[in-house]
Amino acid sequence: MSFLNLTPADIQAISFGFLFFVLAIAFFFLVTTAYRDPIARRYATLALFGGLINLFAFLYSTTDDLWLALLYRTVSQAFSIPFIAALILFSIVVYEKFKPANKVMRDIAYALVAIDALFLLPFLSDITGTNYLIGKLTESPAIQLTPEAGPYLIYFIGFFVVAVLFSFFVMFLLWRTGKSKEARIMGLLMILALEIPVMTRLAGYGPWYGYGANDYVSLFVTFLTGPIFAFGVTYAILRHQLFNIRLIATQVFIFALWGLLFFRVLLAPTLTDALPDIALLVATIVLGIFLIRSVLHEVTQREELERVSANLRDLNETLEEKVAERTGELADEKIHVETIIENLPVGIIELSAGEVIERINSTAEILLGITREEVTGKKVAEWGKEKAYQSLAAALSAKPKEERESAAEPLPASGSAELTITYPHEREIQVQRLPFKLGTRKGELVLIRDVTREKAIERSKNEFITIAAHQLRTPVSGLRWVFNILRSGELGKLNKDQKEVVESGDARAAEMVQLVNDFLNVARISDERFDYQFSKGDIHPLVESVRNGFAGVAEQKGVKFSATVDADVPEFMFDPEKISILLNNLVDNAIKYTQKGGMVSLSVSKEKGGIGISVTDSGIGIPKEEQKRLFEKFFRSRKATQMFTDGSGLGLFITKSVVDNHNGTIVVHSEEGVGTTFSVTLPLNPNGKPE
Amino acid sequence: MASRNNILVVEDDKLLSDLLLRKLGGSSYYVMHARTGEEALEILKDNKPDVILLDILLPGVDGFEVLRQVKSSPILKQIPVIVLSNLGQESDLEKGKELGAKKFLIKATLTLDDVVRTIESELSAQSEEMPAETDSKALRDSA
Repeated sequence: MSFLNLTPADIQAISFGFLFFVLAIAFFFLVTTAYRDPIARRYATLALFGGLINLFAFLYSTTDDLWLALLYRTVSQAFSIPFIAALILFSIVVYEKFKPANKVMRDIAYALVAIDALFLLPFLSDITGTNYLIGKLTESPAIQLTPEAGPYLIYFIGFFVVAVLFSFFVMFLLWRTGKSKEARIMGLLMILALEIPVMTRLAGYGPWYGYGANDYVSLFVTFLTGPIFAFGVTYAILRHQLFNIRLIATQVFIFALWGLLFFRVLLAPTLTDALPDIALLVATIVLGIFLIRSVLHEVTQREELERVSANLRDLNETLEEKVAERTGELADEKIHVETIIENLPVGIIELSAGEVIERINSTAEILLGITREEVTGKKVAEWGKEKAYQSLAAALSAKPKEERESAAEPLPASGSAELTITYPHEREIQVQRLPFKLGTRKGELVLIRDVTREKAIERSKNEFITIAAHQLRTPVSGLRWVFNILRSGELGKLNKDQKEVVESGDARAAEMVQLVNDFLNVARISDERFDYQFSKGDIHPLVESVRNGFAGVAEQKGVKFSATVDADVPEFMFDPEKISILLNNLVDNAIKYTQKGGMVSLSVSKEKGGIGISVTDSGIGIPKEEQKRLFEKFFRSRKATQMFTDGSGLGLFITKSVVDNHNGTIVVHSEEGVGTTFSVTLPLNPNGKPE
Repeated sequence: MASRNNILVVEDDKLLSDLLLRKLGGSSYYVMHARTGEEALEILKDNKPDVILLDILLPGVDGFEVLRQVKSSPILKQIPVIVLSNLGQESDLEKGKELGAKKFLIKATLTLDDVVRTIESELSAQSEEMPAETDSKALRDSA
């Protein structure tokens, strides 16, 4: 069969067959490869109807039966109707994927589809032989390329052209006005792969009216249409990244095999000759589908795997980023904390359980005249007697008072020790050791505070108090003694008036002493806990001394005075000097403001919250409205002022301060003319730590 | 033989020392008086009083130093020392006690009679506690 000897009918048949083949392959290609993609699915629908048009047109060329040939040709043309509908709807779907279609565009599309559907009627009618669109067929298809054109066929062709132009216009709009690059590419792609092939195919109507049937134009156009269409499909699939070389290769191989066998079947002279090829074709189709499916399955799985691994990779990257971020944060946090530690005004040395220096801050370095490079990582015992390390060695070997052992975490701080170092400068330091336990790591923090200044202040304050005590008390003592001697009559007996004057002078001198004592106490306690010295002890001796100290005064005044301590009162933590001041103040007040014949009692007992001290008198009492202000500095009750014009108003202020510094409480119950009770409760340990 | 007890009063304030001397002198004691720490130490070189009444704040050598020297002298260390001062801080009391003072009296809170009472109780305690010492002293006195 030489190419040049082909008749126009042969050329037409080959072109129809070829197009069917291309479209069938495209259909299978799209369905097997990209059925999940809605655009690919619609593209496949188009390929299906296009393929059917060409299949029936091809069948027309293969029969000599005029009636059957006409039926084939009518059915072939009738498939143009769903093809046009699919084309219009496809355009709209593609367009709407990127931007919403306006109402006019939609209305035109629906109108075109409706008109399209109307053309089904004349086609159906033509099958019954009415010849509205498809005219008569008088010669065999081998001679007559097409049936005669029916009187209305020209309208259908016109409508087809309008529909294709509409579709082209929609895609053109997408290409030129698409917002995204992807939309514009899609528009251009559709024009190239769909609109142009369909338009060129319209040239196929030429022979119906006697054009292009006798030359190779039709053949050329046909062969042009196929590759353009195939190119478009391939390009579309590439754009959609549906391309997989193994799958494509398999498909091309299978489809080529099918095509080859298909043409062998067609070209076989008899059915008997064709039977082996038909069997082979069936087998190839079945096996081919299985092969394609299995490859597709594998590809899908691999794609899934790639997707999962890509996700994993992303996740991993995110995780790594997060870890890096967190590590950075932790590092920042560490620097932050280290900066704080470094700049603390307290020297810190961290010792491991093996007494090795783990770290040291700059305050400790400066204070002890060492550098961290010299000492970290070294054992405390290794210092020897070197001068440069003597302060460090002294600080680390300082044994704080009242060390305690406990398994609790953090371990409680031991007491502090104070010592004087001479290197690199003479400083007084306070050393405190804080054992700690972090998981399995045990160690100790040695805190070193420079108390040189505090000590200097303390010394100068003590010096001041010493001088004040001496300078103020000495002359008053002299006065009192003068009055004593005069009163005693050793220097000659005094008459009644003289004696009265001397006695009141002595009383004033005594008040003066009390005032000076109060001032000294205020000065001493004004530094709050600065110089409180807590120690565990027995309160008995203090009460004893108060009893002895006031026995004389009380007797002189005619007031019954008792001071008792319950037997079950335990030893507890207090500052003896300050508690002594407290007891003296309370008892002194009680006796002072109780008239002759009254009673004053001091009792110490064990209470739920610790130790209870109460001082009760049957004195003048304190007015209710004044009770709140009792503990204010320099406050004096109106009644008290009436009774004694002098008095510093400091006694209860001092008392309250002592109670506060012991973390205790003081309350007063008083009724005018009946008496007053001051109740003090002191905790067993003013630091509030359980024993 | 009832001998008059010797008392050394170390006191720089003229009014106070006058009053003390007057009071003690009238109470059958033989009283020596030193105005400074140096004077006190000088007196103690040749004398061994039965009681020392010691002020703390003195010009020059202070009372604590005198107390320390007394207590470190094998001859003098048995003499009871009563500190009679106007200092009254815990630290002062502790220091006095540490150095070996028998009593720490605060002038401003005492009458002269209290001082005399304390001296008497110290002396009687001394004679009870140390009969041997008293005996040897009596022996020496009679000799």
